[in-house]
Amino acid sequence: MNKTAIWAIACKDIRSMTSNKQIWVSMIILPLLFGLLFPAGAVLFGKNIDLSSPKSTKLLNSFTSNMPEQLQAMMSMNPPLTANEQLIYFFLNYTCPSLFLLIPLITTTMIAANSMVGEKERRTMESLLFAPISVIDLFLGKVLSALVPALAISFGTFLGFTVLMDGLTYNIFHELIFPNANWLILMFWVIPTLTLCVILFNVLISARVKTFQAAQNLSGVIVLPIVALMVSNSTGLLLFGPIPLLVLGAVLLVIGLLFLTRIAKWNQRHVLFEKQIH
Amino acid sequence: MNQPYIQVEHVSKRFGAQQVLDDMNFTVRRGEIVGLLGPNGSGKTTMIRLLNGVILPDRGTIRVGTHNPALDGDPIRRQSGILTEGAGLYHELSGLENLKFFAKLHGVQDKQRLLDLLEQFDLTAHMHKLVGTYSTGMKKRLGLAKALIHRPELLFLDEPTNGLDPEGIQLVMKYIRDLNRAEGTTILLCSHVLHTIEEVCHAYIFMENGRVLEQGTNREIEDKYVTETILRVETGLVPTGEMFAGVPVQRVGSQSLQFTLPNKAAITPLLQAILRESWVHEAVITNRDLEALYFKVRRESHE
Repeated sequence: MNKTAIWAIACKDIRSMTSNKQIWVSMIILPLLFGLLFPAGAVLFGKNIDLSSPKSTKLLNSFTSNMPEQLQAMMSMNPPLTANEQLIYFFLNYTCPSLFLLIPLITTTMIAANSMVGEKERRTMESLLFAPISVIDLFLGKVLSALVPALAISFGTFLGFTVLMDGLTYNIFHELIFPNANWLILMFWVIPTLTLCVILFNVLISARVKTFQAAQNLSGVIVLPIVALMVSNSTGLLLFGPIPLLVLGAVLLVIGLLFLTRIAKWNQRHVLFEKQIH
Repeated sequence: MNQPYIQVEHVSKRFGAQQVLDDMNFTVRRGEIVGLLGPNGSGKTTMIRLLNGVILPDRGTIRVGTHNPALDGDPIRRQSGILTEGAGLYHELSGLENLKFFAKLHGVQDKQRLLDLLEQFDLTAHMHKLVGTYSTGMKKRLGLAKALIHRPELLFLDEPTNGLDPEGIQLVMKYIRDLNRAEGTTILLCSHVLHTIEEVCHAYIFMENGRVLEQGTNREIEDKYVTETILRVETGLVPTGEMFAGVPVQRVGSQSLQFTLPNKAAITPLLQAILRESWVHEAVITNRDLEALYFKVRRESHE
């Protein structure tokens, strides 16, 4: 493994991304909306909405009665939460993780889909394949170029989210509700492994198609629905506590590593060259 | 100079229904500059890719140094440099950033080497500008600098002068010649612009439709194909008939005559005969330059 070459490829791609204002602005808008503005707006809404009227109570009951039992149990804390507090707690611990899972996945899908086919479209793929680097190093560089910004943005957003939400909810819960074990495992174990899997799959697609448009389309049709399914299921795991999350992350990591070995086998240099150049 | 460095034997390559190379055979000696010549689509670029091991032949064997590129391409890619037709540069990075990136891929840490190459190719003043803003000629020169970062012992140049102005062509050709002399770099040079490479190549491989039509030095090819000597003479001589001193003559300009001689040995007696009657300012053999040889070889292969 040629670490210098892998990092050179990753840094070159990140540099290309950051030099394009449109790309990095769009990469920042999504985390701002999903990770900070939307949760903050929801907390403020939850604090100020009047849930004392019979109509509102009925609505809230119908809402909470549909929640999984584990969440209902989590919300029966001592002292019992008011209706407004329940709404906020539900949103922050059940809805927000889905949003946080989407942040790196949506961000990386675009970068990873462009990774290989982008080199072809810029007519630089030849230069990379003529260089004395192994194909697996090339793929690793491409994976890192999507993984590093995605995780940096996710972790940065999580830091902002933690500070902002603790600030907004301290007077309700009288304790710092973030970070908790579930969230830490989600952010630093499940999200990195899931993101890695999605990137690997997208890079593989990118190495097989002829245009970025095709890579995006394939990614949208195959990857995003699978991701959406995984996101919805994995957030449910939050309710079962840290162990299932740790297991989920481990499974994703194994899938990712298997994927990587497959990628190397399916993409020998001459196959990649003939697919991408000819 | 005598040891075969590149050996290509019975190599064929097909892409889908298209037979790109068909039973290619040639050798290149270490330290030679060899021109791989042929019209567009003759298979020159495919041959270079096969020599680097980035694509595999359907049939035949290739050896570069002690390595077979199909089985063991990494050492070849480590010791060779390549300038592709599109130069393969990142337009969103500056010239220096491009060189730094490729230096890392080749494991080169000497920053002074990059600055020296930029200086040699007249790009120092532009090294911090984005490559997207470079002219075609500047990109070509930077592409050449990129190919030379790791001091390769084998250099593949695919159309190195395309898009260059006359000054750029001169600069690049001088560098190629100097590099070969100073470091003994073996250079395989693809081009269809024959007059630009004539002065640097030691030998040629003429290709057409994926086959080698002829291979050899200029002298070897000339000896094989040139059966008569066409001499154009700038002179004040006014021949009275279609023959002068027993040599067929034809007027090709107000003060230019073209003589068809049986061989080069007949030149001196002819010039002596002309000088007895008039002045001579210039005498040039017109059917032995690279372009003439190239068309002669192609013509004969079609017959």
